[in-house]
Amino acid sequence: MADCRVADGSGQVLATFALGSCIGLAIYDPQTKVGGLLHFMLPDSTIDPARAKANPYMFADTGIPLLLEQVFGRGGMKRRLLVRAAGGAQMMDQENVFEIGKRNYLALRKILWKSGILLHAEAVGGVRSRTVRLETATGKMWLLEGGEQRELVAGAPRQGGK
Amino acid sequence: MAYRVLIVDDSPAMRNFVRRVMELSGFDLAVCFEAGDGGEALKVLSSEWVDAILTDINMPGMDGEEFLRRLSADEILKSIPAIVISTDATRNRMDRLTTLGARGYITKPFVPEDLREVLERTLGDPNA
Amino acid sequence: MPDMPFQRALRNSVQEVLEKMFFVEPLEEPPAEAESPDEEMAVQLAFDGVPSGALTLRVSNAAARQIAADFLGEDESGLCSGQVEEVVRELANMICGSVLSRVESTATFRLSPPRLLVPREGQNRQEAAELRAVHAVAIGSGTLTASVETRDPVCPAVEKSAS
Repeated sequence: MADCRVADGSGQVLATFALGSCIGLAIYDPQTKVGGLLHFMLPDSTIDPARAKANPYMFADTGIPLLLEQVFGRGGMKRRLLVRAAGGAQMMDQENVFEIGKRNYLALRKILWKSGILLHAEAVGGVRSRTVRLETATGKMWLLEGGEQRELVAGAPRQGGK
Repeated sequence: MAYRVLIVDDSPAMRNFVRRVMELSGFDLAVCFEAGDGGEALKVLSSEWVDAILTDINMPGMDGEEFLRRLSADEILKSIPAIVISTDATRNRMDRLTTLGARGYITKPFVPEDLREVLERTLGDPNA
Repeated sequence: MPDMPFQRALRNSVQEVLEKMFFVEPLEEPPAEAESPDEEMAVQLAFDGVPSGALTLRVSNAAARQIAADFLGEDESGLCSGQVEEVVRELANMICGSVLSRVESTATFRLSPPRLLVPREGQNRQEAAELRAVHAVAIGSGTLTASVETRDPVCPAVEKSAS
């Protein structure tokens, strides 16, 4: 489930599904049309280094730097990046007391800040699962939530938050 | 456009944070002056031009409100857009500061993206 | 004796400041054994207004380093103790300002610059001050405890019943 896809100008649509407490992080360079979509599940890889080695995309602290590296490697430039995120919901699970969704969201913001990147739009929190599509031809990001589809546009941050 | 900015706050850590947000928001900072209180800030402004001022309110020495008062009384300095960054979120304070010419206001604590929004609204989108 | 408005304000302010600018979710934890003074740092700032008083903040050294690095967007290894101290002072300043805004939304306060307390000065209570709220949380590699004390009565009802 934890995964990362990067595309460079091929017009691909990157998608990730059933983001409950997980976070989908989409980054896009409108000039070179390079896009990347990461789906991570947990905030901190130090709790399970072996797992992180096997699948670094599972954790925010190992997945996000890799996503950035791959996007930069294909011609994405930090200053031009459009950065949007969805997910981090409080799902009904036995572990809800640990608030994974919220911790994932905070880990995302911390790592972006340390990487020198700000968010342009987000649809996080709440209780519903989301599906995300990033169109690398146009840079548009589509959100499917509660059976409704809408575009996640920059300049409308903190939607769907608590 | 390359910006000349003055950041006024008695906390070096906060000045650093604000500067970082400005840079990450796409403002190309040609120079960033820093001051620990209103008095130091006025000293900087007596010999340097800036395009924007970001100021705290609660500072030892000359506080932000007095600093804004002095700016608004000066024919040249009053044209520089000033944004207030303060823990004081009271209506009274905000109204007074707007009367004194503050063009933007954000309350601490804030997320970086919210400060970016205030910067863009007050100074314009640097990426446009 | 916990004062509900102050206690609530303190809890909400600690949470909001830590989440928004330090990217940390504070976890409430049962009272732990007191940290040895050598393993924590403490700052205190006074506020002047209605009421007047002080906020004291204690943070485990390890936690202080971690949140300072996060706030500044740097690696822990590159930080000097002066930088950590500056960040913790600003953290105290923001929590205090936020608490006061919540409790007294129309009044104006003057906050003093936060000062570092020397170890063991910690129990230093202001004269005739009353403890209004204490809140302890676990953050990452340690704990953070904030307390607020005031000198003037806040609730008019208390004054009336006393006269």
